[in-house]
Amino acid sequence: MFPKRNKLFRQTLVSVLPTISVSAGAFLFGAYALAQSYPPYGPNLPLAHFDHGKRQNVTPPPPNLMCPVLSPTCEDVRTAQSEWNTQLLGYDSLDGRSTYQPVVVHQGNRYIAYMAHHAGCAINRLNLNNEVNGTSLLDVTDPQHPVYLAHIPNSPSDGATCTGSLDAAGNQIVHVCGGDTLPSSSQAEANRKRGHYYMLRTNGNSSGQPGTESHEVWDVTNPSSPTLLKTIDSGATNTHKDWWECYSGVAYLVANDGQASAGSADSAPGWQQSGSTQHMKIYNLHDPANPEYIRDFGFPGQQPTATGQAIEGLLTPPTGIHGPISAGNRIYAAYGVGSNGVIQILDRSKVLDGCKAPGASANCAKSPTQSEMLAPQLGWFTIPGTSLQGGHTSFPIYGEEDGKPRNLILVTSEEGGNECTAGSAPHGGWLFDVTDEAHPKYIAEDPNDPARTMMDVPNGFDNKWVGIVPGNGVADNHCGTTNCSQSGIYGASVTPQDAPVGTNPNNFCNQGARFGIHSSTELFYPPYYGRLAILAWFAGGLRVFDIRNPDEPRPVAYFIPAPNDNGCGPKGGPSPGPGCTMANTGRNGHTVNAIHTNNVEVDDRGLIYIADRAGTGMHIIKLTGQAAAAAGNGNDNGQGNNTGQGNDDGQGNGHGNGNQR
Amino acid sequence: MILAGVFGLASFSVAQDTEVASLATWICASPVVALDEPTRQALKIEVGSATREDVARLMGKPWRTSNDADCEAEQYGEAWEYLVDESNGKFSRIHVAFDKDGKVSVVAKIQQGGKPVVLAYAAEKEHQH
Repeated sequence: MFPKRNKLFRQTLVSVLPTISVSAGAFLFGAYALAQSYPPYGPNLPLAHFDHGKRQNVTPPPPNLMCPVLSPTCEDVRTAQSEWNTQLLGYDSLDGRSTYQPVVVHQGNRYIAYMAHHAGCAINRLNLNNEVNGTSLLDVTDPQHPVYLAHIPNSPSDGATCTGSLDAAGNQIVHVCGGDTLPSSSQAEANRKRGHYYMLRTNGNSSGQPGTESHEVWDVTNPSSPTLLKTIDSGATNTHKDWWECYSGVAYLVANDGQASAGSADSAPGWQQSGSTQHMKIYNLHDPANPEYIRDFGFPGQQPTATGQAIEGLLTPPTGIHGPISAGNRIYAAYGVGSNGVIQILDRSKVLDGCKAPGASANCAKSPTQSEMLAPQLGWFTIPGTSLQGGHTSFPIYGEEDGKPRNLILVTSEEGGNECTAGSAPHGGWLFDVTDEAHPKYIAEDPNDPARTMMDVPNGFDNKWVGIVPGNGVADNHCGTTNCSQSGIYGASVTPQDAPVGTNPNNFCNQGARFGIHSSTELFYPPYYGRLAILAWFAGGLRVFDIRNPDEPRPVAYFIPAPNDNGCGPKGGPSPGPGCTMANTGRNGHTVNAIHTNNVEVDDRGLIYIADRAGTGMHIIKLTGQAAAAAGNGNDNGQGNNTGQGNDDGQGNGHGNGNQR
Repeated sequence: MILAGVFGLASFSVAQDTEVASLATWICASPVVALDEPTRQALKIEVGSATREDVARLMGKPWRTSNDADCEAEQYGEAWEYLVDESNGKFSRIHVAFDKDGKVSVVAKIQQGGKPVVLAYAAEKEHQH
């Protein structure tokens, strides 16, 4: 089902399907058969090729609006479906469940989408039961016709019900590994896992009630009929953005131990954090039915025995981790979520083996010493804006430039407030050069941008900033440039609802929900690796930046879904209208059911999947025009010193009002 | 400050999409003049003090719920929704949002076509992250 406003698109899609299927075949379905060897599914690291290309910096077209001009007869403030160098291929409502993370796995001869939900309840279309939100599984082999296979409800161990508090519910994070990829310690284990697929998910909302959460491994070999295999770290709190290396089995679980987990053999109480109270609990899940605890880890100063002032980071104790990503012999860990962000670079083998080294303290795994915390650390840095920006995602990009290694980290913060909360900073994405890991260098700085980055999205529909005032200037010497602590902040008058009423234009900050970055893709699949930064921007939808010249990133694509005003079922049922997109409340009680793009991920066919926090569902998107050219699918003059025009005919696909400047 | 019911507000500025509408204005603008039972019940919700139990007592079991808080405790976004059969082949939704103390912060009606009309909200409980 497509929203009503997509009728023209539907008709167009039907008429051009034969063309799409032929031309897309090579790009989408044939070229990346070996993609599963990249992290987290395999150990092979793709190599990005950076250049010095001076490409045209095109101003994105304004989005389509429900009401191009607000008036007494047209008063809908929301954006309509808007495409710039993107094309919507498929959609599913996910029964109206708020969704955090999409992961799509090439599973046997099918592509299975695992959609991880926030807390909540909705009617499962397959059995018509009202079920606590968990994980939705869909067959997306044909991206134009997703097939809903199963909903695995949140396990009742956290106490969530459909009429009680939802504070502990939800299964926001999901990873999937194949039994043939996971290593085995015996032939019997290998035989047992052969042909199987395993899903690791958080069970319980990370802001939830203490001691009610856990992680779970499900056997999803038959994705229509998953079975629970193992519960891990039962009684944990604050579960969140895990990482699972399929090629090694090592899983970096994000959680904390509370009173309820005190009896567990792998409980490590006493870790300390500011902000989100979570750190890493590391296991080897090569045999998912038999987890092997390795150790707990975090930022120096978070260990249970830490006292006094932190020697690193911005706060005492340092901000909690949001999520790690491992690649090669490195772990990149983002701390702080949406404020006081710190990014840490770790030697993976020293983290995993440090407590087995000669001289390690007796309780190194659960309560390491300060020196044991520092030993694996290769470098760390803060983010422009310092206290106003957090570490949400830290995605490594290994590359070369001019024949020499050049390694980067793509960092995102998280916007946490609705409608550009007064006093908060615009949350953006940043690139850091970590070729010298001990001395990370901030690049792609735009001193005129309120977040000081070239990877930002203005809040005005006319690509202007609205209501930004000079921000903080906290002294900070760790982000790599002299003035990086400076950041602009939103003022008290940004939306038309703010005083003086009616003086501000309709814009992205007037959509009821959050507007700002949340996350980047995390899988290492070509063709986008090192070429495009693919980002989720809440009310701003999907945002894509060309980073082939990482010193001068430029916007090349976006996709903003239409709010679902029709119905929650895939065809408008079984839940009848009026729509799926839930409302959020922003400034002065302003309540809008607008789009809220939460996370984005790619599959090994080059398709992009976005999930909506407001329950709109899942959208499957293809890059076109200049964005596809930047990814190497077309004539972009060899990725070098081209003009950036590639083979983009008409700058998109006709949905961006066509007025590129 | 609690704006509950906002019966006294007459200046519903549609041009600015100020969606805190007076009930009278909303009824006049609605194709269905007679209030349906769920909306009548929703108007009884005491914003700022009503709990989940109070809402369930008035409105019954919700059709859909959500709490999109994730990793920071101050992020809290619990909302319950009720489907309203308008008896003319159309449906609307009653949207009830809770603050992190479990008290109702917003009651709104979302009509066919997506237009939300705020029936009441607690101004001090808007998102401040």
